[in-house]
Amino acid sequence: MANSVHTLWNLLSAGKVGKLTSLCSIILIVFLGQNNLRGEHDSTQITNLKATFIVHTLKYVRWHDEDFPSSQSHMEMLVVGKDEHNIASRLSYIINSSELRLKNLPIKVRNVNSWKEARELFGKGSKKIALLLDSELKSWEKEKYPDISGLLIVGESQKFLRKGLVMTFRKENNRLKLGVNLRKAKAMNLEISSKLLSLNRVIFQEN
Amino acid sequence: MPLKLSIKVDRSVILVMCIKNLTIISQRIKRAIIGFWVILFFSFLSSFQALADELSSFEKRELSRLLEMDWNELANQPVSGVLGYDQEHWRNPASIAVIRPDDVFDGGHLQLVDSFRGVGGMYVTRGNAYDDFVTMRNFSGSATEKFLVLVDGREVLQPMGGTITWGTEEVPLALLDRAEIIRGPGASIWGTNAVSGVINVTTKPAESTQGNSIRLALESSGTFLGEFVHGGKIRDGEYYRIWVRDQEYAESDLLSGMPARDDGYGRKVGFRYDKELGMHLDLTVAGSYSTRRFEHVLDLSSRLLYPTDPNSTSPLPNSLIPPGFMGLPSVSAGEFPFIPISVATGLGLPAVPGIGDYPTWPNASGIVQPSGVPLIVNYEDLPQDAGHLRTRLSGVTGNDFEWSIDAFAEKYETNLGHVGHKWERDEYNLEFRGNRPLGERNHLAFGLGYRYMEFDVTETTTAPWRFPTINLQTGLPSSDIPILQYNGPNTFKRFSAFVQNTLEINEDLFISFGNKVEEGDLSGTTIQPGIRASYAATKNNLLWAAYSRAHRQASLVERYTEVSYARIWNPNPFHPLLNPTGQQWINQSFEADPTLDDEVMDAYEIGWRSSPSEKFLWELSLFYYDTKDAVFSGPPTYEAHDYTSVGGELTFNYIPNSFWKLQGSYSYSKGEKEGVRQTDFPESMASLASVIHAKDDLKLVQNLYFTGDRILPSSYNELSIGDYLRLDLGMIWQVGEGWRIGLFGQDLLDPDHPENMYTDLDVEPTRVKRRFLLTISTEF
Repeated sequence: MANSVHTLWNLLSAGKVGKLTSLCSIILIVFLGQNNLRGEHDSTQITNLKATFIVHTLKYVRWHDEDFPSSQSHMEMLVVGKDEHNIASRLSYIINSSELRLKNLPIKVRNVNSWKEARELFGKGSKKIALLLDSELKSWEKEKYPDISGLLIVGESQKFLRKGLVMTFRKENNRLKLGVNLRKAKAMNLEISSKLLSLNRVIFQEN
Repeated sequence: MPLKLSIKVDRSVILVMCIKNLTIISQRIKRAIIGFWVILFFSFLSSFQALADELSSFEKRELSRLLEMDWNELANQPVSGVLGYDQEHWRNPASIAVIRPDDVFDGGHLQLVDSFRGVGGMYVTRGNAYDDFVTMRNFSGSATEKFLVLVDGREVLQPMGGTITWGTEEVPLALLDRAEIIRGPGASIWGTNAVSGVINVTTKPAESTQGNSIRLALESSGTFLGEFVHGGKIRDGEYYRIWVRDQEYAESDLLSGMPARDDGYGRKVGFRYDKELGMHLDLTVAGSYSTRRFEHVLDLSSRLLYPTDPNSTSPLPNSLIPPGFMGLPSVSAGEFPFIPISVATGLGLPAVPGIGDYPTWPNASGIVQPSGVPLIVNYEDLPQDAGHLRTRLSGVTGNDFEWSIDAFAEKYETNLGHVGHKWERDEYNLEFRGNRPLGERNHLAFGLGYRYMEFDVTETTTAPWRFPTINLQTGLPSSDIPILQYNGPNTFKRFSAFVQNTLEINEDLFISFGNKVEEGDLSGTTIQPGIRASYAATKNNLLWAAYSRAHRQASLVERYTEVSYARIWNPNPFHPLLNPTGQQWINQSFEADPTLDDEVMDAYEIGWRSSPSEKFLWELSLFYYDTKDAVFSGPPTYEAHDYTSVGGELTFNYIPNSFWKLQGSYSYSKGEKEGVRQTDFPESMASLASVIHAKDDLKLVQNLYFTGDRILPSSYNELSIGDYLRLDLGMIWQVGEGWRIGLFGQDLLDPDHPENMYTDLDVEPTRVKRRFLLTISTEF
């Protein structure tokens, strides 16, 4: 430590330009180092982005008619797990303000506390979309994906990568990205528009 | 042994103690009152919170903003950032206005700078057809802009005169992404000259301007604007665009009714090329070339002078010349020893020079000014050519480190023919910027920059001044004494570095602090720290505060240019020893002041941003600027004075219903130079903009601007500008796919009014007239 301070002092004693260069070098070291301190803290902004991504993405997903009984008056999106960042309200707000409809049906957002609770709801009525929050990671396994045609489940973060979901968010280089598992989408009888898949800066394909 | 204390207390001590107690009690009462108000204040805020939904109105607005973005914009939204970069973030601890292309089109503005009229704290005036003046927060009501303007990261402030040639920096509206107007110093990030504020203009990437777009505008005055943009795709991830802009300016009238001879043109071409070099690596190359041709005037009416008291001459030491020596009409008789030669000739005073003594001087125009002085003017060409090339390489690395390298090369050439001052500037800039999250709650940014400028200045003695005049520095007569003589260095270097960190203390409290250090030939070493904090007092109320220190470099004209604006006739008989300058003209020059320091401003700001509902946002910003060595330009002299400016802006955005949007501002600012209240800036200004979507394809627009009165300072021709109310009304049709037609009436409330001019150079302001405007834009 003392050596470091001494070295730093020597660097700073080397004239004005020298000082600035030294300072910049130190900053560069800080910047280029690994961001080891980064923890699980999630900002409000990323939650806002996730909600916006979901609403944009839904416009590029096509459900088959047979997966939508004509008797339904609306579609329901389940937010499953402990909603610390209130993404359910955010989704609800932007779905309403964008007047988004799927198969000409309005969408309602509902928060359920656990996968167990959600599992009982799937298959009833028009619950065809779910966002699986990180709190449900421990209780989630690939095999738990319900075999209900047209069911779209999105994972909240990269922790759900390779966990068998149709879509999963990932933060990469301080930007949000959405992974799409085409094989799983096909298996769930969902069609993903090629326009969405061509957005290579936003979308990555998950195998 | 018990200790025995005896205390003697006299009446005065009791009295002092009583007073002290009373003081303590009164302080406690004061604290209680303050505490009461604080509690009341937060109760008031909380009442909003209680009424609010689960999401705050700020968050709803933020979501609406994100929802309007396309995939490209969303893909570029950082998950975390530094306050000061993302100006639109509702937590930003600064007073910010953002202008988007629709604001410019819907407002019927031909140029971006026109749209600043609706921004609180901004004072925008028209000088003549091609010249606009912009000042901010009652700081320098003169032609010198004391804020920083960046266009795609490139500084566009002219270091020679400390001004911005707005017309040279205009781009087609189809290119504009947004203009952020950040009131208050931002020097800790932006650096020197970010004094009273920063205007950050960004253009869209080439990918967002694919296809063709045209914008045409025709004003009833005859002014024409045409813009064409073509964008194309080379291959995936590789886009280009080219564009051209032409503005043909119609001639204005001066206040006296004389033609202003300000017609001319400003033409510009440009290009941009964007390429994705990798998943997180982008390259941009862009450039433009601008050419403008006009004439500009120099008022010569009071520049040849005759001493009313011959004893005060022979020779004429500088000390005998009062600073306002050209201001005869405004100075009482007997105090001022000079009158214009035209007046002296008219009065038939003794020993007045004949026309043979100044044969190159133009004849009087035939118009006599209100002061009684015959008007004499000289117009000369004012060409301006500018070109720049910029390259940006930007990327994000795996550890969330976002970086960019910008390189700029610029050439600017102008000839201020009316004062015989021509210069070329070659400028090169290299900048590196980076930012990344650091830990859970910090986001750190830093930057390094290097700037090199080279000047080639040529002085010309304009035709009127080419007659023999004694140069006091040499004691010899000369016919070649230019009005301006640049005596400064020709090259300047600047090295800069900044660090800025945004610390998220908790979900409600953010602190952004940093410092910029610069080492340059013009300013030496400067340290410009700043700290800003925002606190979400309740869900729908944000309080912010800031302290910043900023520097402004004195312009090169202010520091290094000798000014010779007048010549004085010595009427006494020539004598080789006693009066060697007798019966001759004597040049009067004013030295520049190379010791002029940087202006240093300490700025204190507080703000309250509130969004009681998602449809309503208002903000109150208050500021106090304390500036040391503020340079007050205004030929012929440049002087540094301490200056304070205090005031604030109240702004709001309101959407009463789905088809109506309202936006307004009121600003007040008071400036004092050495404790004396200044009158060159309107203390009160207000604006109100309304957009009504009458039908799906029809918008009705109304803009109302109020500008308080002011006095145009001058050493001999002071002019009072009364307050004025400007009303603009417009209709915009969306015709078919991609066509927009706008019809506007502007300045409808009065036939004309004056706004501004270059004091002591221009003869008089032009008339800003009532006018009508037709604009058409299409994309195909």
